Amino acid sequence: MYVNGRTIQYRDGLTLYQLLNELAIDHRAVAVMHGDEVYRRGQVPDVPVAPNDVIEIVTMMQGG
Amino acid sequence: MYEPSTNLNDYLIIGGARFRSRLMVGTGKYKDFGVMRESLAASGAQIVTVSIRRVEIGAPGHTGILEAIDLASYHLLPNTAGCRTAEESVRVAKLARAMTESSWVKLEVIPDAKYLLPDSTETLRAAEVLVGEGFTVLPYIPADPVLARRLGEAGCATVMPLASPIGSGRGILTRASIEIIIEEAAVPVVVDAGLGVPSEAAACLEMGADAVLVNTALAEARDPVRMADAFRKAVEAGRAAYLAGRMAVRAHASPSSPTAGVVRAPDPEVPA
Repeated sequence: MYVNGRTIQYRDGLTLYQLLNELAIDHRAVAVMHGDEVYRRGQVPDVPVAPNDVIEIVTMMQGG
Repeated sequence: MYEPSTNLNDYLIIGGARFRSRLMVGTGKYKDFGVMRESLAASGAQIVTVSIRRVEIGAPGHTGILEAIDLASYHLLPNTAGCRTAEESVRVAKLARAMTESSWVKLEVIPDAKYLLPDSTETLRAAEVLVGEGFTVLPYIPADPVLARRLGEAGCATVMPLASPIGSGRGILTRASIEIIIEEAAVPVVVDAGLGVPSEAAACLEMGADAVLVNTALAEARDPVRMADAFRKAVEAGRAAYLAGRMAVRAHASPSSPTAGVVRAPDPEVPA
């Protein structure tokens, strides 16, 4: 899987929600794009991920 | 008798929302969140920009600016800074909406890192897509009156022409074009980028701009909080001056004191 531009090892049965937990990312602080689906902050579902999925996990940062 | 309250009905209206403040501020480049928070408060701004970035993998507890801003006090305006194409900016706008739970987006499509000048055609293309998807789009643009009109026609909520390059502090280098944009615009005009001092913000409002957006001018001031207060006053002064209507410009001087009855030196030729 490609998470934020990095390759992350896929394993059977992994879900998006679990992935955030394993990466120690607070799902209330991020929005997630999984393929064409976009999930709101705090609403990342327990949907299965697949080996070649592209996932973006973002948050708010300083900016002008 | 002058009643300051006569201006109480003067609101900035963007996408159907009303704002008292005509100063928008960014959250970038502050030395810490404490100074940022105080500066935001001193600016009186109601609209505050943020960026959307990938979470650092392997940096647990990394939540960006989320906990540093009182989300109830400000209307967040996420930008698409860093995007180089329409596709990238549409992608980031969707993530921004999911992150902020607001459909507002400051659209920036900037392929050039040296002058950070926006790409007009990609910006228009992205704006059309985003308006179609229900976003309230505030595009950052070169000071191009034709592009500004096209973006207004495409359904953008504002146009945000640049005064000079982002973060340059060079002031209003595009004055003549911004004047035309203001004259022709059917949507609010927010002068964004390049303002360095409060007098420049006042000048924008005096010209009839609806609002200004500043970031570096505050964050890189020696005392950002005091500078934020100064910008707040300048924007209020500039708006009041615009509403008051400026005097006409003359080629020659026009005395302010009566020309009759001036006391002259005694003239020895004339008998008393």
